[in-house]
Amino acid sequence: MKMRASRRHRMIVGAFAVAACLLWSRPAAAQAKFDIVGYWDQPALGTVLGPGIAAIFGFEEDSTERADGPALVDYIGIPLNEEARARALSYDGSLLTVPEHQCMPHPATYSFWGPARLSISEEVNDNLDLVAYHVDGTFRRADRIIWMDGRPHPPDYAPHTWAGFTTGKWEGNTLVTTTTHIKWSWVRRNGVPASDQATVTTFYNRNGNVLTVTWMVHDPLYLTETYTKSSDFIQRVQVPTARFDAPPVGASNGVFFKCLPGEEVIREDPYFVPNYLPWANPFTHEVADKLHVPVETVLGGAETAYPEYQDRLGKGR
Amino acid sequence: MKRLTGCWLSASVLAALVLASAMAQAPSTNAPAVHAFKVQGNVWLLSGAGTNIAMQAGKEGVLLVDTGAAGMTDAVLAAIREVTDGPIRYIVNTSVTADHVGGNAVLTALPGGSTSGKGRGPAPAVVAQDNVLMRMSTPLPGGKTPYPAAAWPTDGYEAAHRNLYFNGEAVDVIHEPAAHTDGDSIVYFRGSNVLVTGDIFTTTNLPLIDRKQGGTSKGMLDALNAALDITVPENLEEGGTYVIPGRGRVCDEADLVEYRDMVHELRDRMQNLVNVQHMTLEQVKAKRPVLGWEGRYSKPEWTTDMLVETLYDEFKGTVKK
Repeated sequence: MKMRASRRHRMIVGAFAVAACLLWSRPAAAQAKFDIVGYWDQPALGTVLGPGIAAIFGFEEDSTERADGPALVDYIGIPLNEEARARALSYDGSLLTVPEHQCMPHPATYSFWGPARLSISEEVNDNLDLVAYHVDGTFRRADRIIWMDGRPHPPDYAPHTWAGFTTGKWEGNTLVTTTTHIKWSWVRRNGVPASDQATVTTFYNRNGNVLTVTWMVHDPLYLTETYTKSSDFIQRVQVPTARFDAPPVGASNGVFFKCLPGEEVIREDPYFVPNYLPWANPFTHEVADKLHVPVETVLGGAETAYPEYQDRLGKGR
Repeated sequence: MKRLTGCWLSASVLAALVLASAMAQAPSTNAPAVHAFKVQGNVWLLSGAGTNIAMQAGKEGVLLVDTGAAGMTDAVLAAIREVTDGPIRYIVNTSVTADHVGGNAVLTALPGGSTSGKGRGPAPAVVAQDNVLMRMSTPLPGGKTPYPAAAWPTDGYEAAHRNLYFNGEAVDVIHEPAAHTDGDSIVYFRGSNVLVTGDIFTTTNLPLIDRKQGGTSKGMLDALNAALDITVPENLEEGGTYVIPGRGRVCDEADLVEYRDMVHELRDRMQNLVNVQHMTLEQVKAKRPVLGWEGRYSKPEWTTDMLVETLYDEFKGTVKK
């Protein structure tokens, strides 16, 4: 009797084990494809910058990127090459006063690093097959569509956009996407450029109520190595009443927004483009002096991304 | 210095003639396919003909902006027929450059402009700024003209612009003096909201300033700013007016801004090196003023050195030859 009971017990346990295995071994897409759908905030929601400023940003992680941006000539950790460095050193923050530059949204090479409140939804066809994810809510909303239906990327002569053209597939519990056709843009908001040949691989991982987005910028023209960054988002239950920018035209939740460039600086030459001569940027030493590091350090390069560089720098002091 | 510049110009002219000759002799059956890509409204991009061709198609027929390289016309006609079987009524040439006017002679010989060759009636009219006609028709030493008469513009214009109305929309042909050459036109399709720039703007090359044919960096910058005065993005610096560059992909205002900014910065760098620091050409080259765009845009047919030499001459005030 005891033996029979024991065998039955083992069978039941075994059946549960098999069932559990089957459950875990379901097609990954079936398990995971709903995981990223929903509303996502940056951490520490509720931070107030000052009187009269709404509590809408999260500022703990990478706070400078989510607020007014990094210092000029701080390229530490960015694997940029000499061409990218020359362009970055030409960057004058006043460029943002030029009307054509005022309304540019954050591009796919950068957007998850800047301020964002994500809304991720899915688009299905008549058979309820997943066609695409829509990732909305990065700064000024270069909304990204992640095509999941196996469609090819457009030809070379198709237009480039801030969001680029993205396709994706589930690999286990990770959504892996590839973005091409991105406009000339930037990898950091202090003028470090990304070319129109850059592509981005993005990984979406969910752990409980945390969504981690990791993106890798590959730029054969400006980067000597892949530039990798990540950003965490926390699940939010309520529907937002207002996000960065509203749909392009019209009202949403009572909000109307359309970026209208203006003359922020009246210039003698209305077509003036602020820029520095790369060999005469007045801010080259600013961050270096503040951090007490050599200028070469703030000028970046792949080696400055690795711990060994920090060790070497420490020994040199 | 002048001798160096002269050598370069002679070499580049020779290279251009060899290239044009090779293109002309290439059997069209081996020509790569030309793809038709709808841009917006009535306007299509015909890509793959050596240079971009813009096509406006509608009930009245076809208007082409540029005709591509010689030897590509069979492929161009096949691409047009993918979209419409209407006849070609107008051709607008944005400049005299070989791969913009290379198909003129063949296309204007089509009876009634019919792309199937079975039509009747008048040949397509060819609109271009007068300097294009002058450069195509002025006899070379020896008496021959650079292009046969069949390729010449039939409707030249000398004013600042020329307008026409076709397929239900106004079409502005606007002269941009002294940019890529001295005979450049940009073409704006008002209803379709598409601007065609010719070689004033490309996504493939460093600024194509042909000093020998009257081009200057100042004129190119002026032309780019004039183009930006026409373009209006739909929202967030994207969409709205689409731009077909002389070479490369379909663009919008932001892409044009990127290129304008580059030309502006290159001008500032060269002015500093040549007119402020008074550097020699060799010193300027050593300073690498094009750094930032060399890898993206320098091509064997128009290298960084060629551009620097051209800009150096311009800022030094060397008389063009």
